[in-house]
Amino acid sequence: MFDNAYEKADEAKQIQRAQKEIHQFAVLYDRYVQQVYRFLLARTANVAEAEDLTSQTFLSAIERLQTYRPTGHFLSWLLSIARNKQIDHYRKHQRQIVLELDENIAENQQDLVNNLIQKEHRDALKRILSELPEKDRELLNLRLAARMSFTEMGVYLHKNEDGVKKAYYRLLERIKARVEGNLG
Amino acid sequence: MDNLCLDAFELELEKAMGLSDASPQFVQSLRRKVLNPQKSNYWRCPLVWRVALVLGLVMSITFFAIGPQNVVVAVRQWLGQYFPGIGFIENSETLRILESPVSVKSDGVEVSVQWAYTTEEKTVIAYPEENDTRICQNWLVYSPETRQDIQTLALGKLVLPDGHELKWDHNGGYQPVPPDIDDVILIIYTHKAVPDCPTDVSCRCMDEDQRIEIPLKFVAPSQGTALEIYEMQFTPVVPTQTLEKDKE
Repeated sequence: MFDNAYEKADEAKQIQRAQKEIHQFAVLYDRYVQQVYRFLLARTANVAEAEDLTSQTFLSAIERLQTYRPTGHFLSWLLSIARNKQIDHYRKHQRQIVLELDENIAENQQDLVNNLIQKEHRDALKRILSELPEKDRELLNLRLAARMSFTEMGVYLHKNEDGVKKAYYRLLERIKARVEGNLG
Repeated sequence: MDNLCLDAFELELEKAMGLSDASPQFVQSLRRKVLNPQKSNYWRCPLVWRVALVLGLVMSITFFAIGPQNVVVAVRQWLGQYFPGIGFIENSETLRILESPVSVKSDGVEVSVQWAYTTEEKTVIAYPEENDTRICQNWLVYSPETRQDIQTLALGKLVLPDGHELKWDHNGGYQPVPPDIDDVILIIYTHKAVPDCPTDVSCRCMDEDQRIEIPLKFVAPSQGTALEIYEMQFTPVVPTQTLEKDKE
């Protein structure tokens, strides 16, 4: 999320403090809880599951904090835990990962959405999003849901930052073209 | 939370994805939970691990309370004694092994019994490997009971000095050799294949004279004896006549 060295160093110190005193973890929690939650919400499309998995993620992070070595990519580490928790969750419940949008959530957002885009436009976008392959959806989740920087996305995906950036913008172009094609 | 600059289209996408922040109530509730963990990591373990941990602790305490040497003795008594090539022998006090490998030559064939043992349950005599090509080249082992050529000496006869036969029980061995008897005789039958035997005619009629008697002597092994893995060997002896012909 932050790319400059000063912020990274500051976070590294904060993590070291949290490793010594648990209440110091509050700063990290406050910084990242919404990103982790949104990331899980995007992947589960279910508020209750996203909350449950967010809880599991942070409780697990607290347990493993002593083994974490500050590398400047704490959010990537948290999201890796979150992703594994979600995979475990679906494995236990023997469910396929549902990637379609939850209508309830969509309905809750309807007013806001209507203020921003027309209904037809929105429906086309939703349909296109639901048809995206997993790797493309992951790019959107990391960028738009978890609000990751391209540097962090590169770390999380084990890919080159520039490559991730290009892939993301190409994906946006493809989605735009499809929306225009659908509406045209 | 966010210092990323999203353009209008990205914002549209974000809305279409149905994303929203977590409720303040949830965030506060989880904050308390994370910063004040009520239970230790141990009790977050799955039940099966907890049970395994408790069992392991109980076993360790018992092990050290009884004494490691006593436990080893008890386990050895329970499992029996392990002999390489034989395996664990229950009640190894009753185990007797072949004193030494025995070889007998008879009418062009040499038969060696390299290892055998007897316990209070059974007597086991080694048998040759199935792919041992030395068997059945010139001479075959024949079982009078099954009237078939065989590759296992276990189907021979095992008799005591008084002529009493120890039966083959098909459970992996003969009847045990009585504890007061150490010497037994293994009898196997051989016959020479007839090269020009007509079809459908048995050319392998057995004769008591074609039997080989192999004396076996069983002794108690010394404690801790490491036995080698022995296998029975058949060594067909090249007939003298053939050798003489070769020389000519």
